[in-house]
Amino acid sequence: MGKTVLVVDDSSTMRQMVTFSLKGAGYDVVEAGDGEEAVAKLNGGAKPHVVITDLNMPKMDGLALISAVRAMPAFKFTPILMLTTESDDAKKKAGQAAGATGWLVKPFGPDQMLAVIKKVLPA
Amino acid sequence: MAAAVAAVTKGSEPQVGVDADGSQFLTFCVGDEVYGVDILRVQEIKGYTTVTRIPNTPASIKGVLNLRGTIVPVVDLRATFGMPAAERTTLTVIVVLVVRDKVTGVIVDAVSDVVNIAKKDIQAPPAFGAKVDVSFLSGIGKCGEKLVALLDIDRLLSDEEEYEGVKPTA
Amino acid sequence: MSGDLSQFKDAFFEESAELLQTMEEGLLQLEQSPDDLDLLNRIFRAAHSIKGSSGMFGFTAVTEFTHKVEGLLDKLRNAQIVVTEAVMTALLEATDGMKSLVEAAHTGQGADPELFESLKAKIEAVQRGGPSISPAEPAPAQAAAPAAAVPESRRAVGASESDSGHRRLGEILVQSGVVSEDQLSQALSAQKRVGEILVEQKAVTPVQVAKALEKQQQIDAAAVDKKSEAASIRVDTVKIDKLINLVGELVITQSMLSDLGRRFEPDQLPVLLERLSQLERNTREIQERVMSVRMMPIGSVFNRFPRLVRDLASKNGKKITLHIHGEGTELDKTVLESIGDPLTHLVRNSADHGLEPPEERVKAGKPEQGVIRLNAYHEGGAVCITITDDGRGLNREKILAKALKQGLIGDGEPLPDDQIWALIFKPGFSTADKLTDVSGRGVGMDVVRRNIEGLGGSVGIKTQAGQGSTFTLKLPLTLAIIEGMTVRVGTETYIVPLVSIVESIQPTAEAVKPVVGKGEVVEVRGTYVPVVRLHEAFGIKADVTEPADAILVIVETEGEQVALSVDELLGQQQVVIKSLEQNFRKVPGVAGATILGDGTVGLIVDVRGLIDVARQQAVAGL
Repeated sequence: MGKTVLVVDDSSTMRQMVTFSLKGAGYDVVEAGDGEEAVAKLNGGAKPHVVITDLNMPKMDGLALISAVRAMPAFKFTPILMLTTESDDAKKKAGQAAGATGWLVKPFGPDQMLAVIKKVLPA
Repeated sequence: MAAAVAAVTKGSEPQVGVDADGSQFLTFCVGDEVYGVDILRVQEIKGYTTVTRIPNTPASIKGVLNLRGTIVPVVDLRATFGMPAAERTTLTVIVVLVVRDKVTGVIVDAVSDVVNIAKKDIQAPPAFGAKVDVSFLSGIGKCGEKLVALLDIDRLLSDEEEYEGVKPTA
Repeated sequence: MSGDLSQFKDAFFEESAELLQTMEEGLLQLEQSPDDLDLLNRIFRAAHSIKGSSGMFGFTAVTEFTHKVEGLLDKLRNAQIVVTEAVMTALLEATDGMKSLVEAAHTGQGADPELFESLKAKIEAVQRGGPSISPAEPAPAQAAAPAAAVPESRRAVGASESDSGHRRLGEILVQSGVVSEDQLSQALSAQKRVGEILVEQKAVTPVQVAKALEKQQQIDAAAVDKKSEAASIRVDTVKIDKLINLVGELVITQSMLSDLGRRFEPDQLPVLLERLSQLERNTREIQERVMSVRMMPIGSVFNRFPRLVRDLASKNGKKITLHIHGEGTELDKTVLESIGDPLTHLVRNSADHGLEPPEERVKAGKPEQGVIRLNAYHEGGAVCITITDDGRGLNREKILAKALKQGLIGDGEPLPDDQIWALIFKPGFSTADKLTDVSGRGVGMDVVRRNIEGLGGSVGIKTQAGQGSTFTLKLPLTLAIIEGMTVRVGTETYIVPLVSIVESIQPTAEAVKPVVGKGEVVEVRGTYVPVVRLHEAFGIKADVTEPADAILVIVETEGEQVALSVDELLGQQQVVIKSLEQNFRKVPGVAGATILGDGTVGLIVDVRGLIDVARQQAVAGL
């Protein structure tokens, strides 16, 4: 059975690209345009095995989303990867403090992304 | 790669039935005369249907018709050539021509044939003495014993287009 | 990024255009409300998204420049600098810079490096110059961190080469380790252009090369234009879902009808009629919905004006407030795309020439701040757009003097105001001698009118000296379908657009009165309306030739009413407009054609044109 990835990003271009690469690698994908939408999808029955989220988003940003996901019993241990443009340590630390498993620095290639997912989600 | 080459060869097969040094013409009658137009300019031949008159246009513009959703003007060649109007018969047809990306229908009394006319059998139009305005002709073609007046449809139909303004209806 | 993702480039360019628009609008608003943190965050996010996605496609120039812009926005966000005019100007210019970089990435052309150096310098200057709250932290020129993950070789050859998987020879050589990057760049700088080589060989002259280059640019520009013409349309999913539902209903109706047809009994006629009317409802609704897919809010055109007005005001040393209303008014995409230029022209005219400089306004007892209002609203089946300014108004005497000089009017010819204002739409009215400033309104106004009329619309002017002017554009909602009244004259059928119809009457014999030399007028509730006999104007053999016995359709255009006399009204229906010009040409008095229920062609009356035809015939003594 294919694993499901929840992709959260306010940029539709980014979402499309990430989704495309993931689907190409055999993952199922659920998309959300911001944190609130992601939480709604999770409450609505989406069962992702991994969450990939952007940090800068309208309504609910990435950090708030990570905390919210961690607060849901069902997703307490679901790996969360955050997307960031800076290799900025402060942001990474804030993300890890909120409960992120890892991060990907933009721009990244599909192979890099898949490699990181494999790391946090052993087949 | 091999497939592509094969396809190209197939597409470039010579067309059948065209003389190397001549052309095919669709011939038709208007009054007593036989006219011809280059077959490549003919889009289709259509039975006569109701044409909607356009106000304030010269008599040679018969009107417009609906050709599968597009509006196509129809020229009455009799009026263009200054001949008296004739009764519509079962033979009356509309020849649909393509002139500089525009589609135009012309009403003719009857379509007769498609003929090959070699280049050597085409002469320049006579300077005078012809029944119609020779400026509409591109040449006179000889087809066996018959003479065919070859129409220069670009000139014939563009003259209509240049008509502008409001013509009082006397 | 590998060629895999190139299919998303179009999505990127579309999204970037929207994000840049968001940035620009946001920045203009921010100038008004500098403390709005939400707004600032929105601007920041837009820049951030562009930075992120551009990096994914290897558009390093965009990424790096946007990174700088983002840095400045971040400083604003952290209150390290405050909103000043200089900062906002720098940010707006930087947004323009991002726009041209994104465009350059789209077309694969390079951007002007000098421009960007000066923009970068400006950004850094305002960062330093702004009253920094924490001066201990000088803005460090941040290393281009986001590019770090891009393979070295790609950066060496720049962003524009990453298109369509095409790789340059140099790039491959560097990657395979045959040559170093330094060697490559040396070789590249030593390389000469084809033009230079040919000039050296005396095969061509420099002038010929320059001409060829100019031509090349034109061709490139034309290619870009073509690309944008084929642009796609973004449709709200709600609209599509509704359409799908309606098509579902249509399918059901159709299957019920075919079911009925298979086992039809004469006594089922009422059922058949009922189903048919349902089919008609379905069809009509689908038609409306499909048309609405092409409808887009006019806001997408209006949103360019805050920036334009801001720039014009600062350029001319004027103070201008722009009020925009009705930006949600929808009209057909084709119409929308064609009104941008005429509108820009009118707004520019209002700002440049309509509004006075502050001192002149104060002298005239007006507030320093001039006002331009843009408004869009629906009226009947049309969209009206008004551009109003509270400036000096059109100058009657100057327009008359100029028209006289240009021979547009005769000396001592008394003209009503309307016709005087209409003079500014004459071709070439004030192209000569702009300096005398006949309130400058004539510049290119003929083009404005031609564009609007080409869309089947009209331009009106209201103006009062010292009080300002209002230009009203009236445009059709869509170019494809109109609501029309079918009328019969003799054996011919015409369609009169319902928009122009005021009412239809059957006059009493006394109501129609002859006017010497001017045909007839008909009295309609106290006003006299001139009669135009449609059969005469169009040369038709009518059944009814006397207006008193005919049906009179009162139509209105440009504030003028006439009564068209016809034999009979056949009914009201929606018709799809077909072009007469596609295969024929424009016919005076005819707006287009349509295909009637019986498959024949019906002509649509152009009311304005018809009145002109009738007038010309009257002048010709008929």
